[in-house]
Amino acid sequence: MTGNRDCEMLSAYIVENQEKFYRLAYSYMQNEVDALDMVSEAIVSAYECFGKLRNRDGLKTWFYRILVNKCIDALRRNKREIVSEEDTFSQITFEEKSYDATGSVLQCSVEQLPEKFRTVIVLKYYENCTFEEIAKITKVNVNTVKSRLYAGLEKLRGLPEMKGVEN
Amino acid sequence: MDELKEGKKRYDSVPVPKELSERVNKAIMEGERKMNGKQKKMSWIKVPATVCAAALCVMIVGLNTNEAFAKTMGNIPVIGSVMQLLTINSYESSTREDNVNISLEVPELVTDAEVAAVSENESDSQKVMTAKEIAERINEEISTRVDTYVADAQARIEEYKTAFLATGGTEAEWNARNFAVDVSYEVKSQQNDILSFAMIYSEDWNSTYGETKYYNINLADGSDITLKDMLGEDYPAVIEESVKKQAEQMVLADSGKVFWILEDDMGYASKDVFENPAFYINENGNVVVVFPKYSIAPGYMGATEFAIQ
Repeated sequence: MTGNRDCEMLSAYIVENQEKFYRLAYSYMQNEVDALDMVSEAIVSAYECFGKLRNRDGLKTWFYRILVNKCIDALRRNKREIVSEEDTFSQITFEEKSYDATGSVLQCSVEQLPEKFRTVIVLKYYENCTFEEIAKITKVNVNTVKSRLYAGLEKLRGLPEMKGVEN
Repeated sequence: MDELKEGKKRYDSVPVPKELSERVNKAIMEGERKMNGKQKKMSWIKVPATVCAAALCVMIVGLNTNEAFAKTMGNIPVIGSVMQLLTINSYESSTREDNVNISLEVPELVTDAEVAAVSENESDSQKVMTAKEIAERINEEISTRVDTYVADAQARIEEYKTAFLATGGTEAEWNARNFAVDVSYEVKSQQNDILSFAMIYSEDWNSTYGETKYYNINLADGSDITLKDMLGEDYPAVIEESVKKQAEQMVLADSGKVFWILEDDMGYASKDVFENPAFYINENGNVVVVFPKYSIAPGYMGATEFAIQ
């Protein structure tokens, strides 16, 4: 039975952190309309299954998981739609390689990383989550999180330079 | 350039649209509605909630409630014999410059002023209050408490701001934060002229000052119902026995639960915790005692409630 208090705690948490949720959703959706939709949907879902959340201390990882899953699901749906369009509107694009200060080729930007690597990097460096929290959010074990992080960093640049990354 | 740093810059500089807070609030309302729909059976408690929604629309026009307006509103739900408890004083106020969102949902007892409450015991020398007097007493008590709480909450946030800026926080960082002060109420029961409801006061950033105050009123004569009225002269012992027994069963069923009151010498619980606990009366007409967080159990157990049969 979820009491009024718990209910208040949830709404207080959501209101306080709404901008973080939006940024996280935006990092997936890359547009305002979809990011807003994802935040709304995640909030409604959170209330629907709040009764099942036994450990109230896990509120943050629990809510992030809901939000991340909403975004990933939506992207999958979009992808299917885009695939069906591709035959008719296929475009050939040319992407210029970019170079960093040391002249090494940037493989890609954070936004272009495949989802599972990007999620780990966004949560770790932008949302300051711990490895344990990321493991709970993405429902994989801590070692997988770590290996995805390093693989992601390697994709970003030939060799990751961990210095200078505040954490 | 470090793509990670650049990426973070892009991430943090994503403009947050103005609609966000509105969308978030709507989603919260929808979520709460769904949650309540799941948990609560349709009951008359719903009635004031519906009125509340209806009232909110009208409220924009009729915020400065006059007596005629209050009377009209009072005619909508029929939930009590002498008095009707409903939200006629409900509004959201948001002061953006200091990021404090104050949300008040304050009930007001409304009564038809012509009808006087009739005591069953006419020979009682005690002056019988009229329904109007009862309503006035309670409304005044509530409104004073709401005003005090909101003023105190604002002072606490102001104090925090001073400390925040003094310890290296910037004005911009402060402005990025949101604070909410929330006052709401919950009707616990209303049967046989006994009305029981809770006023819930809270601040989202600081749970220390949250409080819940219960009102148990005998609508026949306007008096406050006491534990003695409900459980007899010996009520502290009755409560102690019942609570301990229930706590023991809860611990047996779930070893993760801990109650200090079951330890020798009551553990960290205060010796007089059973003397005057807060309580309300549930729909079965039973007393439900409420112990605040930390009073009889460790903090993670939260506030605990026990129905005394």
